[in-house]
Amino acid sequence: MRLALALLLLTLAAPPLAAAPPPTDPLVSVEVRAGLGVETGGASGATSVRRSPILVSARAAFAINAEPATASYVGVLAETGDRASVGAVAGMLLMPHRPNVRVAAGVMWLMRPYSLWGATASVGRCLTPSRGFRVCGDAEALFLVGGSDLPSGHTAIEWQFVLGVGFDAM
Amino acid sequence: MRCEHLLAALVALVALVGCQTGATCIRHSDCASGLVCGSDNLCAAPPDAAWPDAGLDAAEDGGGDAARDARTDAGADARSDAGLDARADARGDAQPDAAIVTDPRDNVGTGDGSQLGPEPRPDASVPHRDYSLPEAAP
Repeated sequence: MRLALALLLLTLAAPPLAAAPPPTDPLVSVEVRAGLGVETGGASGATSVRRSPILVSARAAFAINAEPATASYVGVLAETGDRASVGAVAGMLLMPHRPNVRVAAGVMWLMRPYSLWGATASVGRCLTPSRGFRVCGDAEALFLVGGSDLPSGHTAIEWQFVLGVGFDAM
Repeated sequence: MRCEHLLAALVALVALVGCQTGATCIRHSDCASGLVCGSDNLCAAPPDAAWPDAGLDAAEDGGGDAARDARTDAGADARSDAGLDARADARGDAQPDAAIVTDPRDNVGTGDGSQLGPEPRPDASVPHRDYSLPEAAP
């Protein structure tokens, strides 16, 4: 956050260039996402597959490095559909071939009314119909390892396709 | 694999398992309210004891667990109370009936079609006293 603010101040203080600058990564971007997929898991020896709940999230990403383009993100997360729960997500976002391809890894924590936590990993691609606006699709895996919603000895993995709509905030 | 193929595979997988929402479960929240996910990945009624991890999670998410436990306890109490009440009622019904001794001679006809109730029986616990006059000695 401090680095983002410092970058913002440096950007504002820099003298204007004669030529139009090339498009740069946003310092802060916001994205709303919705995902659906399948859920696998269970105890050892007994594995089930079923439809996953719908995951809806809103997250803000803060640029922390220019090359390679890297950002950290935090956000809120909710499960909906046949259940309702809320929580939080946080992680890192790497865009090795910007702006199209991105890789993310992070953690998630559902807090209410039950608890559930785990790690997330995703790879995706974005389209930019206009400057500062993008539509992204990600294949995401959520590795759920603990919480009151998991029976003792159970683990679960959710495989989801996530559709996101984002825009640059700064 | 291209993105379109990956998307199609995901959609097909979702459609394949879309109907599989019955009794199978992976998480407790996959089950209907009041049920929990068992070790065999099937939804079942919770045991009378609290969840094994309820104590660990009570501090951080006591609301959800407390609500589930309350429902579980309420259900168990209701079942217990119902069983006790039924047994008590059965005892209550059986004892008075068994104590009543029916005697057809108790019902005395009055001649007008109606019947009087049973005659009061002498109380065996009260000692019988003979108040007749003694006969004169010869």
